[in-house]
Amino acid sequence: MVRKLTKTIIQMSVVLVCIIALFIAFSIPFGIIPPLGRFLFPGGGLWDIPEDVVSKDTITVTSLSADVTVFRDEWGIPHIYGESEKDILFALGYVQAQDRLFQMDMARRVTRGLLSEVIGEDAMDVDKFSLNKLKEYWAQQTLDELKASQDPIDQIIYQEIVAYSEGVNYYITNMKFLPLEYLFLNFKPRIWEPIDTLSFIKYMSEDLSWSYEDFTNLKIYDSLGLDAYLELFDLPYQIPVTVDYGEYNSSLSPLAAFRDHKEITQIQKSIIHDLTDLFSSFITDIEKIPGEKRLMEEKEFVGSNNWVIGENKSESSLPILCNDMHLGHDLPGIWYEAHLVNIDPLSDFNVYGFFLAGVPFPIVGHNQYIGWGMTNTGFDVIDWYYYKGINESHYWYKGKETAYTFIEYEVPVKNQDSVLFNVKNTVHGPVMTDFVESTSRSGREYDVIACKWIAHNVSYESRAIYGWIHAKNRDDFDEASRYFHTPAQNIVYADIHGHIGIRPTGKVPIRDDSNIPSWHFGNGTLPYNGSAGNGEWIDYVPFDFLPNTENPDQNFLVSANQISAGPDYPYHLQHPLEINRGYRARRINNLIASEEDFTVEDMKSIQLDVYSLKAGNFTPYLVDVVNSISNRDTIQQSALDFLLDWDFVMDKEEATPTIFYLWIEIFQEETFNDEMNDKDCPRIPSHTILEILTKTNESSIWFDNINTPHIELRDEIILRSFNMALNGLKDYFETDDVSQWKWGDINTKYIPHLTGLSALAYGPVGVDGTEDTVNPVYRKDIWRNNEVELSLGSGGASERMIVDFNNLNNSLSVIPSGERGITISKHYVDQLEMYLRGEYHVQYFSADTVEKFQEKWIESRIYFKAGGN
Amino acid sequence: MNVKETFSQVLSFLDKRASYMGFIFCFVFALIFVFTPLWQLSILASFIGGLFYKKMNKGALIGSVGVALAWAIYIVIEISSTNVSTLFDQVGGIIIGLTGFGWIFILVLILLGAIFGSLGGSFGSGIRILFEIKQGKTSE
Repeated sequence: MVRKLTKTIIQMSVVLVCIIALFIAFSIPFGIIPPLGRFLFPGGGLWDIPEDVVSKDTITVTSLSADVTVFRDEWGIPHIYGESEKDILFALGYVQAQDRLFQMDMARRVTRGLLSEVIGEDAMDVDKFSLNKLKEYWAQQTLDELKASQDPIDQIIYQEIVAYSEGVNYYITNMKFLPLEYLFLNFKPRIWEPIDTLSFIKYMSEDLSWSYEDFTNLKIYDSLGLDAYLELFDLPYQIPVTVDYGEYNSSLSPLAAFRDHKEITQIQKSIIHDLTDLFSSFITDIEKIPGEKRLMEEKEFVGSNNWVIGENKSESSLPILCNDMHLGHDLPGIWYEAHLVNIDPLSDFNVYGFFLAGVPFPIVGHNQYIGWGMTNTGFDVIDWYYYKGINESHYWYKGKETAYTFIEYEVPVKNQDSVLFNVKNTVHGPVMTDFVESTSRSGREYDVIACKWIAHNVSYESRAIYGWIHAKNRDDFDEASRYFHTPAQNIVYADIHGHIGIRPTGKVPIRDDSNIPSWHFGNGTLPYNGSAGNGEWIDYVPFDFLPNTENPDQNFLVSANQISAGPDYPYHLQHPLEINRGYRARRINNLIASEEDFTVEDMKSIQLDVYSLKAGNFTPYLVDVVNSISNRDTIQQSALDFLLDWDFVMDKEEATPTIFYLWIEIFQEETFNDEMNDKDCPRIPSHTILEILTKTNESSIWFDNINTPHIELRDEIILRSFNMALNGLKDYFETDDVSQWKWGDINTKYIPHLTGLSALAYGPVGVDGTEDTVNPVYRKDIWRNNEVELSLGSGGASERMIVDFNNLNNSLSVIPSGERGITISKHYVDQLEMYLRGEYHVQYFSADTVEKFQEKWIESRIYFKAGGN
Repeated sequence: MNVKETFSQVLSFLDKRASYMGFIFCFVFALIFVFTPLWQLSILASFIGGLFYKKMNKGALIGSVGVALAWAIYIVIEISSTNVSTLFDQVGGIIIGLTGFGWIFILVLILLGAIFGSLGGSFGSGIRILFEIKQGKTSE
């Protein structure tokens, strides 16, 4: 008996220990993996996450003034019908939260410096840097001014933002499950505030206009000298966005104004060297801040196309407006489509557009009268200043000891006390050098760097968009555009009356360059001596003096991030390094100029065009050189045969694009890398510069390799690059069979999830195009460290929109993700798959009443009932 | 009649039906508990089932089968009516870095249910044995 008792107790003890061990093991998190018991086991966690919204839902809301009906179509896109805009935007807030809550939550946290609250102190540097950029501060100032404004339209906008926030919060407080990302990160969304919405404008402004290019520009200038700078960083082949300010030609460079500046003297050179050292260490340290390096790299992705054709170009004699904005791709995508209709008989509010999840107004879209689209201008709206610091509280400014001002923040941190953080400001803006290693600056004459940025202002972009969505004609549109300050955009316009136009729009500073040193280019293109009071912002280019074209004789307008205006335009607008080199603009202009009677189908084919103008311009030179080889080997002959047959289309199924693309990358490097490395120049000249040298000067000094004793000419470099490309591809593909070197095997697109978790990502998949085709794919070079490396493209068109003013119901769109961010929803990547196939969806825009929205279009519906107390 | 006598009579009643009642109790409770967010209750379900048996290995067997079956039924219903298998694929990818192996995760879950059940069941049987020893009885 005793033995049995003992044995049982021992066995039970073992079992009990096992039970306790399992209880503990399944109740504690491991890294990013949450407690597995709650997360995986039946009864909660994953098992509670529904696939999609219920097919029919009725929700009673006391704050609504009347009922609102939401129909989701087959792509999950909401069509919202209400009797007031406030009610409609409440419903929009609800459905956006239903679809994109995690994305909205994280975007506002990144912008407002609230990541540490949910991630912990690991995110503290990111939060501090974000707060230091003053996005939160100026979003709050904007909100305060909007709230206090006596202007009735400002009041309407404020009330609508509040109504939208209430819709988001209604969802947050009543939701029955948390998306997968919340389960993993183990936190719950905080209530949505109106400032969250306003902070998104600062977020977009940062994405599109925050720049460190002043430092890069100085280093290029310093390393190459003026003449080489002007030759190698010029902007040939530019076709201005606006057509009323003259044309650039071979004798007239966009950089012509810089020629007046003197060469750098030896004394100045030593000053600049010291500055570039400071700036280099500054940039090196800034790159270490998570997110900042990505922002720098994403500058490569920032592009876009828009164009509009007028009556003589359109088959219907009414305009067609097209827009595809190029950004880094993520899942869920940045854009959220929605259709908003006010069914009050006194209202004609009917808008279809692309919204940022978190913002109740569409960034691009159309109503039943007008439409608009955007591309980034590259306006130079951030200046960097260097100062002589005195101590932690003072710096030199115009010969006086001047005190910094401080803005105090309390940063909430997960599982610990909040951290106090002070943003230190000079008269220009926030000091950024506190984020770099102090040792790298010690002993320097100038040791403080601060910036002044256009987003450091109260701005009313929401009022601009409010005006656009209610505009009935060009005058209404222009009046609203006055409020669009940042990020500056080329805004293309068309209406049902047949008018077309384009307007690079945004607030652009005018600097006082009266006291800058003789070597300085001025206009904010290089860092300024802040202590000396150089480069003060004294005014802004008046809205009425911004470049603008309406109803041009050519009957079409195109923008693809090229130069905004021709040589007759008097103001400096763009940073030279931020002007696109222009292949997309040239191609679109060529396509539209050469044809007439365009239809929506034609517009689709232009948006999806992957013809490489670059290949068309370079390949004849390559073919000539290869043809001249007397004893071509098998691979050379095979590659030549492919090149001779090629139509310059960057088709993923073809091998020739692979040969050309690798060759052009190597040709660029072989031409310039020797000098650029020798002079420590931070950037390599562009393909357009290479194009002009190839076409006009086969014995240019840049073709010569300075590391060899003899003088190389263009054709020798072309051939060497060609052979290197063939060898690289042979090694990469492990075959001599050139036909196997398919472009789609090396030119791939990978769409990451916001969290970076690869299991939630899409791809990689082979795609057509390059960064210079109208339908682009942006990624790093494939020729790295003298070998071919697969490079995953993660940028491109972030939406495609075609608006047909002959029949707005014929308008089309698509986004490279899906409407819902829920990873198991059928709308997570449904549109991405259409996008990759080159397909579009209709917008059901003609359904301007509940009754007109046909039953067969409805996938699910929500009825918001007013009242219910 | 005091509590001990009542409990003895209850055990005696259960003994006569132990072979199937223990399993049914364990299975039914486990099935009810999968609709609560408390996964720990699966051990309680098998513990109750284990009380029917005088051998710990038998309690463990019944507990494991009862809980595993309840979890398997719940999982099959969920998978057939929702897209949760895709979710498990994604979660598998996040945790082990490979996608397409969600079904392995699901099998592991059922296996874990069986382990919880066996531990709870054997512990229940152990309590039963201890009680009977205290009552001066043995199962042998």
